[in-house]
Amino acid sequence: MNTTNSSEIEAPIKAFIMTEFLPGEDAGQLAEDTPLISAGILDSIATLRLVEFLEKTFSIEMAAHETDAEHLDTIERIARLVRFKKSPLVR
Amino acid sequence: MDALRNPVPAFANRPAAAQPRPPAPVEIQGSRVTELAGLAAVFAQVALIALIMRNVGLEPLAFRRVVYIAAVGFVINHLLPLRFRPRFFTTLSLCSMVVILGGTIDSRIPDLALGLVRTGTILAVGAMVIGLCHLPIGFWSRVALLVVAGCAIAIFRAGLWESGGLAVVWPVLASMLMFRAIVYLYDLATSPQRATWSHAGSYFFLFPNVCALLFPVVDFRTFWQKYYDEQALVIYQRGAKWMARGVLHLLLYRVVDRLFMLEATAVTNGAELVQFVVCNLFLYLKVSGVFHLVVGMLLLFGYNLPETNHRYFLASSFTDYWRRVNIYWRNFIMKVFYYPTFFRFKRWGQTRALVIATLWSFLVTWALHLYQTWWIKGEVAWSWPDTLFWTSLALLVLANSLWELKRNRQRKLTTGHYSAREAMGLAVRTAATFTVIAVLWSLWSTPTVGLWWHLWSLADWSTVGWGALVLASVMLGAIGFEVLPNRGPRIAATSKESHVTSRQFRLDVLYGAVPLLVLYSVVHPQVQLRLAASGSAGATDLNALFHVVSEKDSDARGQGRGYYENLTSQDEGAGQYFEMMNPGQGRRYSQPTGEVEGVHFRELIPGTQFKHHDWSFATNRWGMRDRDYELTKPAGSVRIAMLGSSQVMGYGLRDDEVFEAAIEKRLNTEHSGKGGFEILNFAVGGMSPLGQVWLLQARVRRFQPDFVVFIAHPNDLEWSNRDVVRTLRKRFSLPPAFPLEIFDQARVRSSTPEPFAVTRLRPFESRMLAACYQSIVDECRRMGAVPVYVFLPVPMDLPLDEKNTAMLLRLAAEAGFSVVDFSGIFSGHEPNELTLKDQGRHINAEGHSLIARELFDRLISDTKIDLFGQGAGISRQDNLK
Repeated sequence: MNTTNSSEIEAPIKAFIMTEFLPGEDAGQLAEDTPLISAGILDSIATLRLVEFLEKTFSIEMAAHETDAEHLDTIERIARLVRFKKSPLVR
Repeated sequence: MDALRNPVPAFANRPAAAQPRPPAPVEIQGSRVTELAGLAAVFAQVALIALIMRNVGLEPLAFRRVVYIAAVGFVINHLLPLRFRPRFFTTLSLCSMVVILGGTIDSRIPDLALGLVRTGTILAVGAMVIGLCHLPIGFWSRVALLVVAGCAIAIFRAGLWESGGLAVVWPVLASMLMFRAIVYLYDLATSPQRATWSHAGSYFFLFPNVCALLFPVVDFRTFWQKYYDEQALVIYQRGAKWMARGVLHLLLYRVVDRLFMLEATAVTNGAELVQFVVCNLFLYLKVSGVFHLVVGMLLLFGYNLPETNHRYFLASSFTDYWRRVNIYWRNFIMKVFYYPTFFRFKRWGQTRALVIATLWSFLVTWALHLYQTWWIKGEVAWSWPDTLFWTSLALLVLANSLWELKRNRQRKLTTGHYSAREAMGLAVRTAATFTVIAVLWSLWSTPTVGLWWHLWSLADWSTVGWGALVLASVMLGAIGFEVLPNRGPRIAATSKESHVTSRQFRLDVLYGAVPLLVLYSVVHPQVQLRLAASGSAGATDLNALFHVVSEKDSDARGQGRGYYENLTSQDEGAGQYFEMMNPGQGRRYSQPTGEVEGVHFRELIPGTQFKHHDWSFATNRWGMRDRDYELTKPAGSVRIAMLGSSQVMGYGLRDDEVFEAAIEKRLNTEHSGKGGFEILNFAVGGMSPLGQVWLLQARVRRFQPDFVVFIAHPNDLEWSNRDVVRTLRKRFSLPPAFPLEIFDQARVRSSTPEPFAVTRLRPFESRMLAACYQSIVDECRRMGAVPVYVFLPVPMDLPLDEKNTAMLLRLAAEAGFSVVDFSGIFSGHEPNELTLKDQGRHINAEGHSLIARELFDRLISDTKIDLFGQGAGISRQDNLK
């Protein structure tokens, strides 16, 4: 039921994370299953900025309880959440 | 917060594929033999941890029993099919609760009937609370019902409704429910998954919780999401590693506490100020030690929970400290209070929402710490240091958050990229954060703001010097632990790379087992005996250090320095909980004493009514456990001052059962024509011969006794040594006869930590005791009293150390006492016949009756004492000469 393809979601998320939180780091090291929260890359402040980015970029609305590792720990999970939020079932 | 308004979870309509689910359990790679070998390796480490804890008496007996249960239980759990494991864990938790809650002071064997009743109560009330969370009504209606239920439980916790033997149930129940009910309800309202009773039971009744009231706030969703989400043996190995780390933290806490810790009131100069500030921060090791142990035990059962604390002394900013020091607490506050508040106010702009959410989170944190204190300790007191601590920390974290929001903090995918400049920057930031947190923590741990402020007036150049040394160590720690070890890629998908057949697993086992083996050897009694026998100076200090580390059950004393020590101390104030945690160990000795200005000894509080369990007594207006006496001796009467320790004070006995009172009564009955006898009981529990010298000078002299009967204790050597060291450390004066040159000979100064000083002075103990005895005799002679020395053994310590007894008697005779040797007084009796049932160190009424008979006979018949006949008058004149 995906309405967007993989690169349309994962790529901008990865680019945002690299630009905003990991400037100067090797983008090749950041895989889609790299832990972000448990590895300390996505702390509370970074999470708030990521949420703002996701809401603006993908025109979605996130809830407070979605700011946890279950939803945001990897690019893969973030993309899955965005994809779900953009699916017709929710919209 | 929208999700919370609706009883139907917000995710309920999600397609199945989009709903987060617990990952399927990861199968173990490798053969069955490899698996069993891995299991044995982890078991060996946990068994070593249990042995070390037993050898050094780490944590109360009940806690150690839980570790033993975990050590055996996790092996059985692993051998069961996966589908049975959650049920086994719940069953094991309940069985553990029955065993631990059945603990009484009378026996090491649990009273299972009592344990069942207590566990049943916890289960019934807990099930009711869980049921309220599941009611098909609105979220806030369920919150209201939970508040009502909490108030009902609070009535029992506050003792407004007497619950007898169930009194211990309420703090344990509160510890299980006070935060987990909040997390559980929140997760029920926001999660797509429905919790089963099995899930809820495992989560609420976690078995280590019964022996650790201060428990990390485990997150419900994480608890189940991460259940066996990695290979089982990898999880177990991590659990064993954390348990070992917990033991190390607790042992380090002992070292800091015994060797370096200072009370705020004992700080007298700039160097001690640094010592006080730094040591206070290190007291948190007790909390992190217990947290590592209890969470490590949960990992042994497949609950792959995250770390509870992470190198919190090496935080490089205030937000970093908040993230590291109590990770579960931080996650709980962020999840339930911070993010919902931020989302509610984010339409006001990110900065404003962040300010509101941060301040609200700290306000809630402060309030919940008070709430936690009340549930665990049964009382809570607002204080300025507490308020200022949380306010300051909130403002610092807020400022730091705003700075990070605007400037962005440096994050790294790999730490190998640190340039020298970046590493130095990290080290400086770490040192600065450490300084501010240590100073704040010292405020939190000081009784009043005024005292804390006064401490800083003592700062001088030595404060700067020692402070610089501490900060240099912190900077080295930052480089050593944060920069150097992580030079490779920092992030790995651990579930894919770590498994039982991997080199990493074998290394983990090796790194875990070797330090444990070393530690086990170090705390082994045989090693300490050999060190003690070697006699060299280095070995003496090493032995003192090992003695500190392995001093059994020494953490149970209630220090109450600061918030966390107050929560974790298990002194008599914990009542039934203390007794439950220390089964079969008898009641802890207690007496109503107060500090005396200018000396380190304590004296009984005058004119007080004291109650300790079922024992009660009153002190007279002079601070004696005795009837009232006039200061001036009645004309024609004979007055005897009796000195001694708790045995003489009559611990655990009625007033008329104490041998001193019985002898006085008998003298006045059978020798009524002699002008009357008064025996004044000056005994105070734990009073050493050095303390008796002070007591004679400060309290006894003005009562003009004709005789001073000093009831000596077999521990006089050790007690004198201890009190000499404490007197020296507080820079109080010693008796004129004291051989001060021994301090130089033993390399002891006022700054030498007590355990080192005591060990170094051990070869000089007989000289110190001789000086104390001589001072007692000299003091008696100055006041014109006949000094009588009575050696009284402790029944439970029989047979006596003959060499020690002979030396004590010889020293007493050489000092000039009239010596009464009662070393054989208890022969023909079993020790149990003569000691209190619930406090085996103290003599019971039958024993006191025996002593009264024997001492009465000696007093009236011993010609050297000459109680009447020529009477005290002649002795007084002789002594006055």
